Amino acid sequence: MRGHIGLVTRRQLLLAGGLGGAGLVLGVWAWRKRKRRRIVPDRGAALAPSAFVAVEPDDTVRVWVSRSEIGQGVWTALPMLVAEELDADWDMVQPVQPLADDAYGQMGTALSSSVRSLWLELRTAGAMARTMLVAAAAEQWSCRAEECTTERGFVVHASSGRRAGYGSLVALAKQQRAPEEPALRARTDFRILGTDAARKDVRDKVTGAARFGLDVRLPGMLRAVILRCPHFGGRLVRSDTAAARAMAGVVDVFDHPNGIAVVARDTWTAMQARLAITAEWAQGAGAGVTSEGIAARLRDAAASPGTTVWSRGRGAAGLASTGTRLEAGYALPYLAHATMEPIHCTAWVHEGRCELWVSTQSPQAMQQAAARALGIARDRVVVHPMFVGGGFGRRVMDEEVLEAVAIARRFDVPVQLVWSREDDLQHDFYRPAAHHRIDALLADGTIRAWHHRVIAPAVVHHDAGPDFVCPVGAEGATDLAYGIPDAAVEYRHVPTVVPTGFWRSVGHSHTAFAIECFLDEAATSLRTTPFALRRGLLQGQPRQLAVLDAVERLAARQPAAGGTARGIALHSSFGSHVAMVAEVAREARGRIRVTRVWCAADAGFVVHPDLVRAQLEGAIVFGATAALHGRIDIQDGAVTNSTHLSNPLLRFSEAPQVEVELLEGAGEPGGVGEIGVPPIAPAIANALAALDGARRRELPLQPRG
Amino acid sequence: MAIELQIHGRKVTVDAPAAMPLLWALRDVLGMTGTKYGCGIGACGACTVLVDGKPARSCLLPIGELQGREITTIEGLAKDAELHPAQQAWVECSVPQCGWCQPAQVLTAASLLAQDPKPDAAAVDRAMDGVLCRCGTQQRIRTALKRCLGS
Repeated sequence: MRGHIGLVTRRQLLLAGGLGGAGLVLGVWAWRKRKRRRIVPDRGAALAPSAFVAVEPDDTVRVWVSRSEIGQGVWTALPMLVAEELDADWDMVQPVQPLADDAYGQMGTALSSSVRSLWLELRTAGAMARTMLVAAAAEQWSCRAEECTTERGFVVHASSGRRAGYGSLVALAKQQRAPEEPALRARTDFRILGTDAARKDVRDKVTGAARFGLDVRLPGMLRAVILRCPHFGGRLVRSDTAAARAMAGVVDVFDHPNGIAVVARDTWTAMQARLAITAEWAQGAGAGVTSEGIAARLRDAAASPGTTVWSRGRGAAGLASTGTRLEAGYALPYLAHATMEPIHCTAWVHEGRCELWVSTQSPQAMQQAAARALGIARDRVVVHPMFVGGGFGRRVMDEEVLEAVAIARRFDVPVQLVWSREDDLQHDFYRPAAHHRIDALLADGTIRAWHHRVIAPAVVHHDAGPDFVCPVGAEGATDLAYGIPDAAVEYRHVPTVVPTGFWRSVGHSHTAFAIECFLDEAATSLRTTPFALRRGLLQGQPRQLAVLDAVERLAARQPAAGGTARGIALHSSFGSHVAMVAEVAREARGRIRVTRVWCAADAGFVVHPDLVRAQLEGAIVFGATAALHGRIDIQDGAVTNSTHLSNPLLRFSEAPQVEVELLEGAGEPGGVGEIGVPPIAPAIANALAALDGARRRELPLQPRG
Repeated sequence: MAIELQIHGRKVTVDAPAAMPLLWALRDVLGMTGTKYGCGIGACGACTVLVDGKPARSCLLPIGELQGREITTIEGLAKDAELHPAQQAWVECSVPQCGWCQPAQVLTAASLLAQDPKPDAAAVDRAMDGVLCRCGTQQRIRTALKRCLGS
């Protein structure tokens, strides 16, 4: 019963095909726009012109945060949008976690879109409330609204010196007409947006008070684990569960579509009982499948044409002109999300209803999945989204929800399903492995033609037919920013049994590696510098050029240490532009250390600079972990490196020193959460080539052991 | 069976098998969910608590072996409403992202500071290397620790 993508339906994914990641975003936004006239839930005595905001009589401003707090800071950034236009006192603003509810529009947290997609709607909600509060004060003071201003939670009538706190005006404000399209503030007047406003989630996260999905505790709640078939595409042949059943505290043991479910009074007993089961599995379609074998299939597939998904000028035909041909192939492995909070879902199925408590990136999709599985209406499913202990794209999938519901429907009490770390690393929806082949024509000191072939199993639809074109399969390779006159990108899907999913920055996570490594190889062939080659190709792309220049300056301020070398890379994704310089050193036993990273980013208008810096710092560690260590080893369709010992993450002492410069952002906000991942791996690989002259065309980079 | 533990200076009786790891006794029996499950094999450090002031992996500590030992979890670090200096520094430096590993990070830092008021960089690395962070907050943890040390 492998789950499916929860964020968008398969149909939406296919519809978005021609547009890639941008199409998905547009699809989500269009959905929101249609639903703009939403019913506002009952907010009692509060002033609530929109589902997102309520000004309470006691001066509290509550803001419903419709995206999941996965560490990216939506509990702060989204309320800031409301608070700015409301002219609220930030200390009085309280975020509220809504249940899954269409009153809040599309609640999925993905595509680095939270601030971008709510930029106007939340500001409008704040401005509506402010307009009504001002109108109320004007009525009370028998003056014109135009004579009144607001000041951090007060309406002020300057000429008479009168002031009224928002709370005192709520009752009268509720009688005022809600403006349809209130004027929004000019950016030069922003008082909260663009500042490092105090975060709303951070205190609870250092006291242990923050409640994540796995922290839910309910009366009578049972715990469940599943003994899963280790082989993708395999199945259970026979099992002996007698010893598990006999253990004190075990409530039930039964077959489940994904293996054998164990339900117990506590998590530890459930895990101990799982160990006591003996099971024989058939390898099924997983027989003989290895990660090396898949890599070879991808490499072989790169020898023949795929589907042309983007081209410019004469496309691949441009390679036939006069010049020097340069060709290279790049191989990237499957990658796991490894969210620190293990995968889980608590389900309570009772009286024809279902309640879910889960760390999710898509509450409405989980609601839909549970409703479908139980054959009940969607409004009979209540979803309590919780703080999310790491998302990275993993938690748009509904697998654990389907599992939990299938187990919980057998009991009349809540059941909390927990995946162990091994379950997580063995049964993830992986970033697909990929093979890239780039063939270019070098002439006149630059790149004149470009032919890029991307071979990667499709995201989510890993077992689709060979002609399937994954809409995000070649994202980041299409719309090449570099001004190469003739260019073409082909994509080809290779079906496998290995489940795939969305992994922070999705297609960009591998396309950027191939493109940015190849540019350095071209620079070497052309006897120019990586910086100069990129600079020449980015004329006409002012934003990319600006981050490239900025990062070069930033890194140049720090003298190079002996025994180190640096590499540069640049990539645009989710509406933002990021350039990085990585510095590497070689240590004992041939091991690599990333010592420092400089990063320049243009993420458009920045709502909260420190949160953006934090996301870039974090993305660099996330991406460097993948570049140095990340891989999924598969034998007979089973993942063999399923703990942090064999599948390591970058440790504290290995984390590079990072310096971030944010460029003055023009225009609307760009994406933030994913944009720092794509450039770091090629920057590291390029630095290593600068260190010893050897090109790295395969990830991960760190020698084993 | 009933096992007596000493948590934050108070005696607490836990009705659970002696072999049950402290992690699950805290989370599932006592409902103290500030201590986080991460891997169950002592490889990620998310379940770190302090036992007699020293960091320990609660997923590997059977409760039957903890008689007479003083246990501190993240819930007991702040005294009344006043945050521990490490917690305060974590807030000021905006360290947490998702936050799942941060109770363990904060407890590990608090223990380090209690035992070595002026740790050098190598001592900080040794102490902090045992707790993984997937979000990549390591640089901010370093900054927060420096703030605690007043430099």
